[in-house]
Amino acid sequence: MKAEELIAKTPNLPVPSRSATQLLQLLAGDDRDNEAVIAILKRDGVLSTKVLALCNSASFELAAPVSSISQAIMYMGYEEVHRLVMAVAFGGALGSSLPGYFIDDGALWRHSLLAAMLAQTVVRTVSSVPTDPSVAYTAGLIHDIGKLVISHALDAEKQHLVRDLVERGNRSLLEAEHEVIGADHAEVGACLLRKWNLPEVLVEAVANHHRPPVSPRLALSSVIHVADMIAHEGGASPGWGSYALRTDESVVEAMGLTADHVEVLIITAYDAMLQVDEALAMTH
Amino acid sequence: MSAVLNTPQASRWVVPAPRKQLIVGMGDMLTSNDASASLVTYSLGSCVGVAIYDPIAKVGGLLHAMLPEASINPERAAKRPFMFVDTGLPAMFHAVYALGGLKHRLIVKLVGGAEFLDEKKIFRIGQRNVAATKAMLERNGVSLAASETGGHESRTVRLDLSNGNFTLDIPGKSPYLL
Repeated sequence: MKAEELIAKTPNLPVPSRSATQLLQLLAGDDRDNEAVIAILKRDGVLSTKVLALCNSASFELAAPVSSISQAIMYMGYEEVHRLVMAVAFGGALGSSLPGYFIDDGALWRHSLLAAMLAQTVVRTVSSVPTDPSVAYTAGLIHDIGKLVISHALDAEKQHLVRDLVERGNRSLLEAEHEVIGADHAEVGACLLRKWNLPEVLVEAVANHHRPPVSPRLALSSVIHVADMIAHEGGASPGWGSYALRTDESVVEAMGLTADHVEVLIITAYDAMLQVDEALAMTH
Repeated sequence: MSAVLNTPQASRWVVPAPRKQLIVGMGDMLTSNDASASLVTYSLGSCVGVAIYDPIAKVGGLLHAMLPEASINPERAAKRPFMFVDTGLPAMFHAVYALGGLKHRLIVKLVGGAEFLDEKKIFRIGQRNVAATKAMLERNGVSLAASETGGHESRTVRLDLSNGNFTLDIPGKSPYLL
């Protein structure tokens, strides 16, 4: 209830386009039908134009320009197309500054892109959670979307209270925001995703990314939990008190993650970060 | 426009030109003897930043290392020694010596190694980075002039090569000297 109230009070929240929502629903379902993906993209003029523009840009080095969506998917690969669609859907909102958290322009977007790439890596290399890599990517990308709402609720006085709880009360940032505001960015984020009719697998990942369940089995939220932590350690840790987080010991154990895994993932994060920064530089 | 700038009232608002900034990327290192510049590295979280400065030669170096030991990926360490404390630190000292810095004059400062809140050892990269840095400096008879490590903040640091001033910048706080 509190989460909905806070959402209602927040101006300028992004609403993903109908085609982005449909793509995510399709992806989370059991059978991803290429024809259906192409049909969704074709109906959306803005998206089609962007997909074709990216496919025909220098980065794909095609001999002849491509003019159809199905050809573009063939050349770029489905995952690349998906990343572009998600960037269009969420990039604007997640790229803005969040004064409540002292997050600068672009810093949360950088963190989100890195977490998204790491979520895919974790799914492919470490995790026993069976998930489509593109779903994992999307969950990583939007895991902190609730911060848009919480930042708006954190006025100067509440910021002060949150800081006090973290600095003197041994609370995590998440616990402090829950105490001060009555809801935290994970539950508010999940509430937003439900409002937008996004698939339940994404709702779960966002809702539990700081407290992932271990039984009866690991869920996508554990993957996002680890990806989020590594993104912080890998150099994209935006805002005040950005290390006031708790890692979940039982999840780390259940995933069989070792200290060496973490170091290897940090090196992966470094490589991913270079790619992210290169891509961000191209958009400026 | 120039007429306006020449009036005494306007001249009070002339802002000094920003100092030249040489940005040290993550897993990288820079040295310089350009006294008009500052070495800057952004958002040290669990990474460590080590600054060294020779106030006589006005030469400095700044390292932004991510992991304690190169043995986790020797191939990578050969290509990018500054990602790791144990390969990056000696390489930085040698680069500063090459610019005329002398070991006994160097002022060495250490920042970073932020930690999550929990007790879990697996994610203790920050603590291990700090320990590796301190151990290596000690083995080589180098003492730390100042350090600020641990905590839950990511820190941006700046080494002013004209005077060795080392500034910390934390989101939501005013910058301060270490």
